[in-house]
Amino acid sequence: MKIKSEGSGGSGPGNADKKVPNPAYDELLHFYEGKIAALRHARDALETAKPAMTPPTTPPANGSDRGGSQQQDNQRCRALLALELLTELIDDMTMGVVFDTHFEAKQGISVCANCSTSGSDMCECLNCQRSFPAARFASHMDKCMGLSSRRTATRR
Amino acid sequence: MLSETGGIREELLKRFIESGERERLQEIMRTKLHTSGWQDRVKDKCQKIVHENADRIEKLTVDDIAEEVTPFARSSVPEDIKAEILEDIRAFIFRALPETDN
Repeated sequence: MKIKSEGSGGSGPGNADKKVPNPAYDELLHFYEGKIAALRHARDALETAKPAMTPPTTPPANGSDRGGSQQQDNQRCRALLALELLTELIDDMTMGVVFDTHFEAKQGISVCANCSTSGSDMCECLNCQRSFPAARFASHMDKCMGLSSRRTATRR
Repeated sequence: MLSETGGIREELLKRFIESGERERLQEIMRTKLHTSGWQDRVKDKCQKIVHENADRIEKLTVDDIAEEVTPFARSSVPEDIKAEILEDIRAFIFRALPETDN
């Protein structure tokens, strides 16, 4: 796909030495170069960690080897421990999302014991005429009616 | 050292939390994951799971959703973010347990 440009900075062969400034291209180039650098960095880190994470193929033959494989065991333990801590961090973040989704799902099926209004019934705001599900109505009115602290309020 | 791994492991986990390092890395990772769109992807997947179980939604537990989304969430983390945080963790472990040549 040729990007056509007006004026003398064209794409003809005579203008090969004149570069057409293209900020969008530069930005994309910079972005992808950053990505490539990050991936290279990741690959190098994994290469360094690989020996520690590979299980031993042969058992130590004699006593003099024991120091070496002890060192390897240590390295392997560290690597596995690091992976374990990382996985814990990821799982923590996942659970945050899971709880939110679960809560929203359960709100949708909640029903008022008094008046049998479903949690997903819509109510219209008296102030701004927008519609909200019952469960979010109160917090919107709170901000819209301005009775609790307004940070930035536009009076209509 | 290997025979004491149990006690040392617990000690290290404790130090990881108490030093504030875990929280620091958690925050860094949270920002990176959010920017990369990972949170949105996991949220979508969770909502899909909820819809798939719409018929038994009253009995749907947090554990049900977690069990189904965890493999996806773990594998969906971009490799460069994983490697970055992993390096920080390995550096922490190295500082806490300096290598000994015995």
